[in-house]
Amino acid sequence: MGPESAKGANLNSGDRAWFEPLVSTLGRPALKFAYMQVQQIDVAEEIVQEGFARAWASPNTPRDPIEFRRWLYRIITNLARDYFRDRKQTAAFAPASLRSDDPVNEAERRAIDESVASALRSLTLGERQAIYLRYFEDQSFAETARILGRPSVSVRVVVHRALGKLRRQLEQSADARVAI
Amino acid sequence: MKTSELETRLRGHARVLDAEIGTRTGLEEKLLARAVATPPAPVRRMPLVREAALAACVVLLAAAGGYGVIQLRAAHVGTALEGTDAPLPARLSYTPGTTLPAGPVQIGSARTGVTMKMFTSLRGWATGPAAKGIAGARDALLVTADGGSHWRNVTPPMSPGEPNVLIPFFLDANHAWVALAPESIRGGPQPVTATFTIFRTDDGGASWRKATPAAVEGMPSELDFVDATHGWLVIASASNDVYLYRTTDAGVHWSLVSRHPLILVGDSQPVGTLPRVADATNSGQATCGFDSFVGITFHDLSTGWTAGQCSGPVAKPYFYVSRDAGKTWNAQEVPAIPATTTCTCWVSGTAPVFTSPRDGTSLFATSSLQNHCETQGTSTSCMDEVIPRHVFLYVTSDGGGTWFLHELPGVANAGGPTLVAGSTGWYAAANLKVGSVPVETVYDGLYVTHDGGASWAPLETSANFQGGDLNFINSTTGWALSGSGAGLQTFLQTKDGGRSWHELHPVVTG
Repeated sequence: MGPESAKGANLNSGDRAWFEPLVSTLGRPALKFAYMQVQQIDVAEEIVQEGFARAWASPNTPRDPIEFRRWLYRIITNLARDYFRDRKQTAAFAPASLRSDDPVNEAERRAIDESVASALRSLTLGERQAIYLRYFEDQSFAETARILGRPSVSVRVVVHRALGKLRRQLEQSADARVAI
Repeated sequence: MKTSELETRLRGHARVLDAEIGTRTGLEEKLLARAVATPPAPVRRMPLVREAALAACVVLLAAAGGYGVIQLRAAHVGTALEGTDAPLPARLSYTPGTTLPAGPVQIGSARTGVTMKMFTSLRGWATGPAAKGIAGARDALLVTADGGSHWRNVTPPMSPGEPNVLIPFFLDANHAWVALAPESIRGGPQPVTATFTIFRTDDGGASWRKATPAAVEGMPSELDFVDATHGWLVIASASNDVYLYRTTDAGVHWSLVSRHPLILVGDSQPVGTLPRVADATNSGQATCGFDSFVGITFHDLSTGWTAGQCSGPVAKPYFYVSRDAGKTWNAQEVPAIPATTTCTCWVSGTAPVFTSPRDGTSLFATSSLQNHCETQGTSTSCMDEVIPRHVFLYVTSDGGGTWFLHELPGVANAGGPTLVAGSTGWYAAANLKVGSVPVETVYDGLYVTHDGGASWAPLETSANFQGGDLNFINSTTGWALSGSGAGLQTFLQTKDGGRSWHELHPVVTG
C-alpha cells in the first residue's frame, strides 16, 4: 500500500466533514513545526494557514490522514523556505521573544533551556526541520525522510551533522559558563 | 557530551517549544475559515513536450514507499512449520490489546510494511485497520481461517500505556511474534526505551506469551525467525547504532550478536560490521546504510543477508551476507547494476525472500533527486523530488551462493514480486504518472514469470484488479490488497493464477 494510491479525490468539494478533523488534529503540531523553522509565531501561523489553504485547494491533496500529514508538512517546509528566500535570511533570525497568555506556560517559558534554544538557532533550515521531526515528534528516519522528500540516508546525514553542531554549541556554552 | 544526553535534552526541549507557542485561541477556526475560502486550484497539466518526454521515459522505475520498496517477508519454506486448515480456537485466553467493533474491517497497516501473510488457502494473518487517526493510530493483528472473508482480532494483550506500533513476524499459520515499538506519530516527546516487549504465539493467536528483555538502547525495528525457536531482532537506536540480537528459545531471551555503528566517510570500517557511512561534510562521496526496517533475513541458523541503501556517483547495491549467525558480515558478491541510472543516485534494497531452500529473490530500486519548482499563487515553491528510476531483482537458485540480476518491467509500486515454488511469480507493475507533483506512480499491469524472474510477460486480468500488495501461496491462489486510505482499499482473491479476481469484503467477527 503505497503513498501514491492515497491521492486522488479533491478534498475541496464541500467535504468539510473530512477536512475538519485534520485541521483539529494537525493544526497545533503543524504550527509547532512551522515555528521551529521560522521562530516567529505570527509568521508561523501565517504559514500554517496558507499550508492548510493550499492543501484544501489542491486537487492532488491525499485523503489518507497519514499521507495528508506528510503532504501538509512538505507544503509548510516549502513555505518556510520561500519565506527565508524572500527575506534573504536563510540562517539567521531573531531569537523568539514571546509572551504567553497562560501563566503556567509563561512560567515554563522562563525555564527555557536557553542554551538548547540558542544552539538550535545555529542550525540551517533543513537541519532544524530534520531535528524537529526526529526528536520533537519522535518520527522515524524513514518517516522524516518521507516528509522532507529526501532519501533516508540523506536525512540520517543531516541529523548526524546537526547533532554534531548542537553538541559543539552546547559544549562551548558550558565552557563559557564555567569561565564566568 | 554523549549523543544520548543530547537527544534527551532535545526531546525535553519539545515541551519548551510547546510553552513558547502558548495557547493559540481560535487557531482551528482560523485555519478552517481561510482554507474553505480558498478556491480550488485547477488541475495542472504538464507542457506537451515534457509530457511526451516523460511518456518516453516510462522505463523509469520507482523507489517507492519512502525510498525503499516494501516487500512481504519470507516464508521460510523448508524450515518453517506449516500450518493446517484447522478452524480457529473458539475462545481467546486474553482480551485483545486493541478493540475492534464487529463488522467490516480495513486490512493493512499504515505503520509497517507487513499487511497480510497467507499460509494456506484458508489460514493467514493480517494487520489492520490501516489507520484510525493521526495521533492515535494503533494497528490490530488479525487472523483468518476462511481465506480472508472473516477475521478475528488477536492483537496481543498490551496495556494502554504501552507503546503500540506492532512489528510482526509470521512464521506459519500458528507461530508469530510481535515486537512493540514506540508510536512514531504523536504530538509530544517520549524518551526512547531500553526495555522492549515481545509477544509470541504458537497457537495462531489463541494465546500470547510475553517477554520483556532489555536492550542496550533503542527500539525494535525488525524481526526474523527461521523456525519456532531461532530468531533475530534488529534494534535501531537514536544514537545511530544498529544492534542485532538473537534468540534460541523462541524469543524469551535475547543476546547481543553484533553492533553496527555509524561512521563518517573516510573513517575505517570496523571489521565484520555492516557499513553505515555518513557524509558529514557533504563531500559527495558514496554513503551507505543498512535498512533496519526491511533489511534482514536469515535462511538458516547461520546464514543471513542484509540489504540497505547506498548513494553516490555509481549505482551500487547494499547487499551483505553473514555465515556465522550475524556476528560478522561481508559484501555479497553480485552482478553490478547497469549504469543506466542518472547519478548521483540512490539504490535501495530489501532483504531476500526465499521460497524454497534454494530459491530466493532480493529487490533493489534506484532513484535520483531532481529539484522541482512550481508557481503557487503569487510565489514559487521548490522542492527536491525523488525521481524513481529502475528496479532490479537479484535471483538465486542455489541457496544464495550465486545471484543473477534481472530488471523488472514498469515502475515499482509499494509491493515487490511474489514468487512461489521457485519459478512462478507475479508482479504488479506501475508507471510514473505523467504530470504528478510530487511524483506518483500508477498501476500499469500484472506480469508473470515462470523462470524465477528472468523474464516477465503481461497477464490479462479482470478489470477490478488494480495492483497492490500481492501474496500467492501456490501457482493458482493468491490475494491482493490494493489502494490505501479510508474506504479506498479493496481486498481481492484469485484462484486461477491472477487472471480473474473477486473482491472479498473482510469483516471482524470479534
